[in-house]
Order: sequence, then structure tokens, then C-alpha cells
Amino acid sequence: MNCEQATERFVAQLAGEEVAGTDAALAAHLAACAACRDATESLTSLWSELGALPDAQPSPMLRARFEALMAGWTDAAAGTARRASNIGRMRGWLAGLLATPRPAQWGGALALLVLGFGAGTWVTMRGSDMQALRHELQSTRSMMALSLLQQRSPADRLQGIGFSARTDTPDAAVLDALFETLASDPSVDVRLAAVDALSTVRDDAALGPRLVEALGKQPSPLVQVALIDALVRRHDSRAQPLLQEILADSRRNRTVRERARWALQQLTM
Amino acid sequence: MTEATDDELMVQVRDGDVAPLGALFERHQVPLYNFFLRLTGRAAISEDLVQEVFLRVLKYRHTYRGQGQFRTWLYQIARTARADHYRKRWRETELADDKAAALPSLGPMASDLLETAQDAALLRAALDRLPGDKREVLVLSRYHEMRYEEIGRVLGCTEGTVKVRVHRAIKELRDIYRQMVRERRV
Repeated sequence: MNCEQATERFVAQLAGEEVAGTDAALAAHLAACAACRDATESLTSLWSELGALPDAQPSPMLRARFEALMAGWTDAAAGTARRASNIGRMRGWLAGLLATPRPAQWGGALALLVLGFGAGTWVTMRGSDMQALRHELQSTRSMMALSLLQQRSPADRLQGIGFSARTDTPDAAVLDALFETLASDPSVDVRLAAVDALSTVRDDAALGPRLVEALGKQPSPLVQVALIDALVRRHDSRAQPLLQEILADSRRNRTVRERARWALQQLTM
Repeated sequence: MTEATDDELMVQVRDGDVAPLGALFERHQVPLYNFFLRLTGRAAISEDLVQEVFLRVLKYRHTYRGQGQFRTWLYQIARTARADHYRKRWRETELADDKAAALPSLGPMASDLLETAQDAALLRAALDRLPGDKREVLVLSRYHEMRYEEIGRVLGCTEGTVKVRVHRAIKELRDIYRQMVRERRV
């Protein structure tokens, strides 16, 4: 056995694979080759240490989310079954209609036309089952965000903000909770995270004025700077009067005033 | 009475009875969560990904072929879900405390346990520094008790390639770990 074969055999052994008749050959090679012996000893030791690293446990929320997923899926499947049953009934009705005399067929055709238009509208309005399920997931995340934002621990509230940021489009209740957090949370870190989460919301025209209002009421210079940056990223010119006011107020924090000056330059470019 | 195998449960799910997915979730949620956690280092993202995997299992259940390869199929879905997540969210900033939340609690800090705990934390940090593809092959072989042939099916490569990758990965991890131990002593 050469060094290359010994390495291959050793790696197979790591995964517990057995190759008949090679253990003795490997042992003989290791006894004769100091380099391979050192390498296998150090790697075996590391392999054992890796195996000793404990598994982490997911939070109970993972199970809650899975149960919500299953409930949403079951509801969606029940809806599909109901629709399939309705289609079956419609087929029966159609078969009966086609067996009737010609004047009735014309009447039936007209009825089908109206029915087809109605069904098309209905299908469009209902959307697909998958969309319903995704909506269910979004709702679960929103619910968790709202729940966590009420917690006493800043770490929990930060996690709540994390959940709100993972919804594709936060609903009104989550946005209200984020603005409430921004206005009154005692932790600057949590308020900064709320600004970050609000910065990721793109398609909400009403957000700009609310951010401006939040900037006007925000006591922390650090959060003020984050809010100014968020307004610049949105390129929201409605912030200009307040920014000029901040710039002119000599009692304000110097860094905030400098940031306001920079923001005004950006917004007027 | 013997417990139903993963394959038997998944065949029921595929054939329209989704209830057995609950049992599959019970069996695989923790290993899957740790798979993602060891690759991403982030607890919240790992939970999101586990949820996404089970959503995809439901969505694509009709593609399951059986043949006793549920775990292989599950981890193929897991890899795709993770890749899609990073494609979609590559610009998203993560909360600073998320990384800390990823690490399991060290428990009571008795002085005789402290050094062991520090070594474990250092090894975990060394694993985090390993390039993603190497970390993945190492995680699958060390923590999921997968044979190289099964890992090859998950990764879409040959058993021989897996062996080479595992060897390179464990050697690189050893070098990183040694370097970090030296830095800690300094």
C-alpha cells in the first residue's frame, strides 16, 4: 500500500466504511510511514472532536410554523376537493343538457357562456392554492412578529423585527407595530433594527411621511441618522423641510446636522 | 409492530394522505435544522429553510419515486432551498445578534468545563471559516451518518469525488483550527 492508497483507505474508515483485507495493509503502511501516521492521527482526533459538537435545538416556533403550514395545506386541499365536486356536478348537468332537444341546447349554450364568464372571474379572484398557502405563511410570520415585538426582552423584540423583515410585504398591523417600536422602544438597538426593517419596504407610498414624522420625534441621534439615511435611500423629497430645520437648529447633535446637510445635497441632486 | 419507514410515510404523502408528513417532520426537523445551522451559522434563517423544505416536500410530493431514498431526496431539496434563499436574499442584512443566537448555549460555566466549551466554540468557528462546499461535504459525512455513495447522490457527484472532497475538507479544517488555537494562545 502506498501513501495515496493509505489516504483513500483512511478517508473511507472515517465514514465507517469497511473494505475487506485493507485494515492490516493500512496499519502496516502507517507503522512504516511517519508522515501518514501523523496526518491520520491528527485528522482522527479532529474527526472525533467534530463528532462531539452538540446538536442545537430549533425554537418551538418551528413546530408552530409547520403546524400552520399543514393546516393551511389541508384547508387548501379541502377547497380543491370542493371545486372538483362542483365540476363533477357541472359535468352531469352538461351531459343532461346535451341529451335534450335543440331549442334547449341553444338556451344551454347561452347559459354556459354566462357561466364560463362567471367562472373565469371567480378563478381569477380566488388565485391558486399555493398563493393561499404562501399567504398563510406570511400571516404566520406577521403574527409572530407582532407577538415578539410585545416581549420584554430586547433580543425577542429584535427577533420580532427579523420576522417582520422576512415577510414579502408587511401588512398594516406589522408596519404600525414597527413605527410604534421606532417611537417608543427603550432600546436604541431595537429602534435601529426597526429602521432597517422599514427601509426594506419599497412599495408603500404612505411610508415616506411616516418616516419623516418619526424622524421629527426621534430623541436618539443614532436613530436619527439611520432615519435620515433611510429617507435618502427612498429619495423622499418630503423630508427636505424637516432636514432644513434640523440643519438650522444649533442645539441638535453635530453629527445629525452634518448628516442632514449631506441628505439635503443628495435629495436635491 | 414496527414503525413505518421514511419511505413508507413519504409514499403515503405522495399518494394524497399528507398527515404522515408530521412524523417525517418529527424525525428530520432537528438534523435538517442543524444541517442549515452549520452551513449558515444563523438560527432564524435555518428555521426558515426547514420550513421551506417541508413546504417543497408538499409541493413536489408527486415527484418522489420511493425506492427507499427519502433522505437523499430531502437533502437534495434542502440544498436547492438554501441556494435559492441566498440568490433571493443576498442583499438582505442580517441582525447582528442572529449569529450569537445560532450557537447552542454552553450551559453552566463551571471552570472545569470552560476550556472544553471554548475548544468546542473554537472548532465551531473553524468550521464556519471553511469554504461552503467543503463545509457541506464534511457536515453531511460527519453529522448525518451518510455513506459517501449517498452523499454523492445528494451532491450529484461520484463517490470517489466525495472521498477526495472529504479528505481535503478535513485537512483544511485541521489547518484552520490549528491556526486559531495558536492565535488564542497569543
